[in-house]
Amino acid sequence: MTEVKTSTPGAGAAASARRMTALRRGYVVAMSLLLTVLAGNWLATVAGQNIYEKDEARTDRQFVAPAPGLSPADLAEGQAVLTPGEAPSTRAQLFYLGDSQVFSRPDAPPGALNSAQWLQILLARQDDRAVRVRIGASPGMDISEMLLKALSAAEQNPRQDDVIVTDLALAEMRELGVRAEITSLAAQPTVNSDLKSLISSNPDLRDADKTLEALLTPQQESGNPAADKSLAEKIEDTLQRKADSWSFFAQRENLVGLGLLRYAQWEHRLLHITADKRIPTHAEPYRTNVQLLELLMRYAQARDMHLVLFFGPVRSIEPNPDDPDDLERMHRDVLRLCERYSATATCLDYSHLIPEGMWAEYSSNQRGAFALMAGQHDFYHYTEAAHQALAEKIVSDAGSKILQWSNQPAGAH
Amino acid sequence: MTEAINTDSINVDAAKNEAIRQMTDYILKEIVRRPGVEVTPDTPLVSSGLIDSFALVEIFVKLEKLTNRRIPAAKIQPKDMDTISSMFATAERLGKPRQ
Amino acid sequence: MVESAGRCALNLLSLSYLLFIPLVWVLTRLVNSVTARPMKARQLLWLAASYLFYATWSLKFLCVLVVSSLVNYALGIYLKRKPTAGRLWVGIGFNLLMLAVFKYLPVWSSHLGQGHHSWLLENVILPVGVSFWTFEALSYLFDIYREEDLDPSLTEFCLYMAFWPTVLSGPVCRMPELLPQFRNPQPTGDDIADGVRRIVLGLFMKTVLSQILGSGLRPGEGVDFGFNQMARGWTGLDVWILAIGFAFQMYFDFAGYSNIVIGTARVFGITLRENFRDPFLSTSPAEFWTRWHMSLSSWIRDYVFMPLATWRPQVWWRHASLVIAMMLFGFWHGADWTYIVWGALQGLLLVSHRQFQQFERRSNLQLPPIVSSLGGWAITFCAMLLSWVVFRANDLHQARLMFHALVHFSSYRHFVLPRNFVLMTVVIAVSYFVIAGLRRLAENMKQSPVVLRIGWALSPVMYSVAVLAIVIMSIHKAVFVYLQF
Repeated sequence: MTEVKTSTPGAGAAASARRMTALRRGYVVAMSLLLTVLAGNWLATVAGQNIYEKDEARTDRQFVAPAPGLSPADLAEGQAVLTPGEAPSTRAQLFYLGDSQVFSRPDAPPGALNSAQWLQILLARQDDRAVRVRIGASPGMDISEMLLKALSAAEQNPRQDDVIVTDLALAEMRELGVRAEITSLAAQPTVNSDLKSLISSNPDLRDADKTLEALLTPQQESGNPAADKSLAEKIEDTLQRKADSWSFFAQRENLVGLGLLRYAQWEHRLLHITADKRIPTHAEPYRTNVQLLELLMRYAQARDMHLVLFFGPVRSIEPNPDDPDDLERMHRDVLRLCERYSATATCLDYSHLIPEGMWAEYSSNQRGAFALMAGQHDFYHYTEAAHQALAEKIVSDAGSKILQWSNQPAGAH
Repeated sequence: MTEAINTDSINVDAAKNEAIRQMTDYILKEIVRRPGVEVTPDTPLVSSGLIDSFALVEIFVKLEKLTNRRIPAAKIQPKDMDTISSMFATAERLGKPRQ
Repeated sequence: MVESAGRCALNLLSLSYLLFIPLVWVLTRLVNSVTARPMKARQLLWLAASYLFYATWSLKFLCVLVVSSLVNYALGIYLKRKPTAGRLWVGIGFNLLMLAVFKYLPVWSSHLGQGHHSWLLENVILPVGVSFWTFEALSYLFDIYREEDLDPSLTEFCLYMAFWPTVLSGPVCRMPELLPQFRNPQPTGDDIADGVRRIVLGLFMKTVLSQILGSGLRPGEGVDFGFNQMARGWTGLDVWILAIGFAFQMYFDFAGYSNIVIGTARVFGITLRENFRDPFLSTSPAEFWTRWHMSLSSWIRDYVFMPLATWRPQVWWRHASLVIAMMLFGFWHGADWTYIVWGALQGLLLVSHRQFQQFERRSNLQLPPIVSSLGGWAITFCAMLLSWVVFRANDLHQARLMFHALVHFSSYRHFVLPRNFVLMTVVIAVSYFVIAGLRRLAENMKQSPVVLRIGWALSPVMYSVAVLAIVIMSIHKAVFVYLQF
């Protein structure tokens, strides 16, 4: 008997539709994976070629180049600022805070010295066991970040700093906001408790207190982050490390920086933002920053630390991003604070220190954010010669005091 | 021999149909208020988005009035009030006649 | 002491979680094919996976969850024997006590003086998700009281409470929906494809969009900065931008979470309740609450508002019930006045809307549809934005200062917030509406085979862009906002 095959037309169509759907899904999965890998690899290559300047001063990529007038001892002192962990100990420690004016020399050759290094060299020439200078500056640092860094300084060193030197620029007084790397300092137990104590013992500085309250993050249970990790976190860390073997995954941070840079380029073009465009200083963030500065002074006073504050150099050409009235207001308010806390704070005015010829210009050779403004005046950064001039002025005006303080270490905490 | 006609059940059915008609009118005129919308005893009301769920309370109060029953709201599930038919069935099942 | 959410756990935004899903899926297929009783074995596997998942948050949390599951299961049996209101209230009482002890009393105790009892309360932990799975337990008891035909085994009930996709922050599920699915899940190719799509979409919404709004493009910008680090000095424009930014941040955060969770469950053949449906397209407050956090708003409607509103026949009582129900909704988020005032505002908005509808009815007002829908949308959107300011403010004083800025027209001349944040907020908000419009258009064109084919062909580009963006932005360690509730 012959078998008669019967088939339903509908079943055939359904099977065909299922095959088509499976093929389509396979296409979507395969193509998605392929595109992701190809695009990811390409992005990783691009990121590697355009490394975004990290928020911290990249001291690990810097070195000190020999130059006329610098002895081997000077070079060693300059190098010691870049690698503080390896530096010989001294009687006092000096923490140099501020924004990128402290360390950025956009048009200087590699190995050129910044003002912090010059300060170390000049002080060491007078007494090489007196002071060790450490850089704590970050690009665009504002006062709340300065305060957090000052509080955390004791965590990073065997003892607290004796002197804090910082520039004060209008840009630092305009904004409130703490970047994640600096916010994370607040999680350290002593910083956390210092913050709480500052807030509770200064109720009159309410706006500053409110800003600092927002930074109080859950404390780490011990001072050792690795010990706090659960099994789930350890597994996740292992997986993340394995994922880093794909270059795209490893370059995430640089890609974020690159993305921000491209966004800034687009924004500047669209909104016709130029380096000399006037930047307003709004009343409320400014007032909060003045209160935060006063908190820093009170903290230093309580700890027997010394503050050397100088009004950072201002490029005196117009148009200018800084409003002269805003500058005058800042000078007035800060000088008033320095008078009130004169035992702790020394205020110096270097607004007109740097002549026009020593200021930098943005060029397309520069990396990162600097390249955005190629061909325009740089109102924030100056040449290496200016860094030297600045350090010489600090030593001239406050060097003897700093050396005197080095003989009177700050109170233990 | 003709079957005796159960006039009581005819009256009950007529009353129920009248109540359903009144409820349908109420929903169309007072709740939905959109021209061209048709509502039958089995039209999904809440699940279709025709009425918002807060209007259910007004419909619930109307239902108690039309059926002359006290219905324990805590006993009602959302699906019980989704169509007019299910509302009346729920009233019959769970409601107690008002004194 | 409240455990900080997400620090030490199997986070939905981690590589571990993305490996956890296929691992459990493969094990599920294995037990389905090799065991003699696949349903039981699968349920036990899922329960073990759920408990393992939850245990990575805290073993103490897990103990609380297990105890709650056992007690509620027993209460269900007790209620089923004789479904009376009295027995139901025993169950409600137990669950409300759980919430009070773990969620509300520790917060209130911080306002008491130092003392033995307050110390005890301050050291009570807040199990993550307690608000959600306690509400699931309550809905189960209500359904038993309503004589729904439910007969879950102990394993099935524990799984319902602890089901790992939903245990952290919902959606708040109901037993009648989940029980048949737990017994016979049948994941198809469509389920897996749709599930993966939703997971990718959810990750993109959370790690990219919500993150940009919350923390800003650059550190120290964003909604968090605007609310937490500015003590005063907002201009009117700042407040509107913060309101928009926060509304969309919450949406992308919670809808993103919901997509990840719903997608995960879908991969296993389980269909969960939807939580969001284009809420910012709502044209009335009532419609908004059928589109935002739908699982919880329908819970409040079914188990709080309906029984309360029908208790008395008077119209004023119905309105009062609406306000009370929404205040409880606010209170569910936390024991802060900002949440309670926000809830009251929502209730008043709903009452106002109803009053307007009554006015339309009485005056026979027939507005042209375009006016009615556009006007309704504008008023609803603005009202919701302003209420979110109260929700997000750190206290009522801050909310008051921000509203003060809104009503002073002189404060609209400039804004203090970082320009990047303002730009991003506007771009993201506008893009949301543009994409919603395009989606509507695409829905209408879906029948065209050409459009379908183009969609298929281009979809790998969308997936690739989304995955790359997710990986890049994952550098920021994000935590879901709704975990704190």
